[in-house]
Amino acid sequence: MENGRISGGQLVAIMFWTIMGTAVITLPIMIALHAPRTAWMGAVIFAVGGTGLCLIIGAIANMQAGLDFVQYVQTVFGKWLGKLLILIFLAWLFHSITLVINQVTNFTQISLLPNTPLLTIQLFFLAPSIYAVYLGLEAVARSGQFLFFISIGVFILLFMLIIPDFNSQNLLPLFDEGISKVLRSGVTPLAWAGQIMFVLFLVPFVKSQKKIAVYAALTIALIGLAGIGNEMMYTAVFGPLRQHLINPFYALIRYVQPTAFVERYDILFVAVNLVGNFIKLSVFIYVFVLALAQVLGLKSYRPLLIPAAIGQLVLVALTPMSPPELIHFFDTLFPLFTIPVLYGFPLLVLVAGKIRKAIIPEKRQSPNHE
Amino acid sequence: MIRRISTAILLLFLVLMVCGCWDRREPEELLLVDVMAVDIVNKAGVKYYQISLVSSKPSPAGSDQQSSMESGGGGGTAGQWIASSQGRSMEEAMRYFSTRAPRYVYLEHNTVILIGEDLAKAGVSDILDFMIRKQEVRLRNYLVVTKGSALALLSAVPEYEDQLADELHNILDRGGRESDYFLHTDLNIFSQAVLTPGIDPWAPLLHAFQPPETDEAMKEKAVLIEETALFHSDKLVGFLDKQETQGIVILSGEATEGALYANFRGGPVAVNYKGVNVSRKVSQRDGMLEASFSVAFKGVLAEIHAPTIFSSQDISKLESLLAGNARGDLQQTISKCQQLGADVLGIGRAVHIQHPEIWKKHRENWQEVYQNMKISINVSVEITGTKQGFKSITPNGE
Repeated sequence: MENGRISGGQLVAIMFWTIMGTAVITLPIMIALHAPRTAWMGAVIFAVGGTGLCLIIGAIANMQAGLDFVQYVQTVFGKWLGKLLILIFLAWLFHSITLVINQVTNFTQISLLPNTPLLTIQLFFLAPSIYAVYLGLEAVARSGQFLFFISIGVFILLFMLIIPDFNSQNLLPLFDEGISKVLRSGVTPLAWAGQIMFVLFLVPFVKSQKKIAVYAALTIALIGLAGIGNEMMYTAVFGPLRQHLINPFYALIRYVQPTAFVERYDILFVAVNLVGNFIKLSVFIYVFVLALAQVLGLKSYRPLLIPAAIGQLVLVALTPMSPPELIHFFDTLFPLFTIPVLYGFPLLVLVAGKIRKAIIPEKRQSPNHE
Repeated sequence: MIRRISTAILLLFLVLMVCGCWDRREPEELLLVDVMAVDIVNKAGVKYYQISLVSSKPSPAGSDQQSSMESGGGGGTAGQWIASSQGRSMEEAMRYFSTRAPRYVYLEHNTVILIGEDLAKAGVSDILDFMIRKQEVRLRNYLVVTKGSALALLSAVPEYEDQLADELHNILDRGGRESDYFLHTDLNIFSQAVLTPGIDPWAPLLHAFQPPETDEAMKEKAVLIEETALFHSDKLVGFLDKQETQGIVILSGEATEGALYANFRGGPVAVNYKGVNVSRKVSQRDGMLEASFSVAFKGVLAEIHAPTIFSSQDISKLESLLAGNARGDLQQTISKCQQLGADVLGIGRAVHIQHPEIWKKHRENWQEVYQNMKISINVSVEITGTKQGFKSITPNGE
């Protein structure tokens, strides 16, 4: 199914952008809806939730014993119940890929290409990801590793350029909105952090599998730190105006003071958006086709790639969402079903795995004994 | 073989992409707007927004050489395109430009937004909303209020630069760094002040004036920033003159460089300060809110028209005199802001940050509280040098 092997660093690089790709576009709006002044707390809640999930991931990875996640779920719950649970997750994932495409293409159209048909933008975002997935996990990981450092460089450069406009008074008073609103602002970021559980599907292809929890936690810590920095920047630079901006990250880049050397930095947004979401879409699609192929018992996931992509485009076309609809959806419905899937499912697997381990002798736990 | 053919097809496909995208607009098809001016006009009792655009006309090919030859090496100046359009909404007014503009109106390079006095008095939140939604408008645009109509001001001529747009931009960009007689603001800062309870926005006020150096018969006028427009929420409520503006700039902690003045021993003395330390504190005494500012100037003697005696006592006396004068000016500025109900120094925000519980009580009636609260100012001046000179030049060297 997959012959490639990736290092821990590559795993961190791809998972960073798998979560951050759309987080950088969408989460600032979600957080600011409830707590614009204390928005950085949204990133803290993200990190706390994500770290908790990393512990679950680490515990499951230790019990997988060479099995891939789909096999392990089937071992723990039995063949049919296991398949059903994986299919529920895949239904969530298929829908989420359409949401990713929707976010990325919508914001690209609003910010950069207002006259370009949405389908064209969708195709141009999907095509490189499909090609990368076709080449295998190693291709995605190597691209991720290379692009990770470039995009981190962009972030650091942006932070340095915007420092003169940083008004720390905008961050005060702390917890001004009240603790309930601050906690509410962290609900959607919490759902985003749940995407770290994709690591479970990649465990068999990572070189040092014992350190999976460390890699996942490192990813969450990096995103958390970047998120705290970003949220502080948006609030410090735009104050209450950040609530009125459809894309604070793009607005921040456009607000950088022109210098004698460089007048416009808009291209930085294009770079981060393209790079980040290329990795994000690649990982989402990879996990989808890989897990589906494993459930169906196929030898390769590649025959599923094109049908899956066409299915995605059809679903995007059938469920069009304008940016305000998308924002409302992410703020209300999305966390309600995403948090149970991304946190509840691994927790269920862990608990069931532990119970099974406690009651069934070790030698009978191989899938061959099912 | 199939692999090679499919690679070749893919490469050819990439070549097709090189020609651009749907949204491409060639530079020669663009009307690059430099300054945008917005007014409000009444037509038969109906409110219309009037948007005026200033764009530099590109020089025709070879015109530089030609004009250079004609004027004996003086160089040619490209003209300006100024046009205005009216609509019931700003979007409508912008769309009407398509019936007049020979190119695509392009706002990405716009750097200055002028707001007419009448519109500023009526409230500017409508135009802020429009500007922030407009994809091409940058939040870095300078926001300036004009004395009278903004369109009328566009007929002014630049005194130094080739284009009015450059003159305006450079005054706003560089003038503020040289003195404290005005402070520029932009779409972001101004919008924040409109949106934040406890702070009101301000903007430089642009005048058209007849330069005293020109013939009075000449009708051409130049531009200068003469005053500061004060707002309460989004409405213009009054103006501060240059002296008062300096006070606001100092008290807001944005001072860069300026002069303090005193009459010492029968002659004027000026101190050039660079940077000012300002701290502010709000407190509640007997249920009444009070604010206090501490302002510490450090500067060097820039001008002395009196016999110089540099004893410690003399210096102390001079420092006290300068501090007293500065304190009086600053107090007058604050009193005027209080009278107008414009909390441009953000004292309400200071209450909010330092005493959130007290702020909750006063938030709803903040303007009333602000207008009646006691605001005190302590000023200290420290003279640290005498620039390149030492003794002052006086008749017979006395």
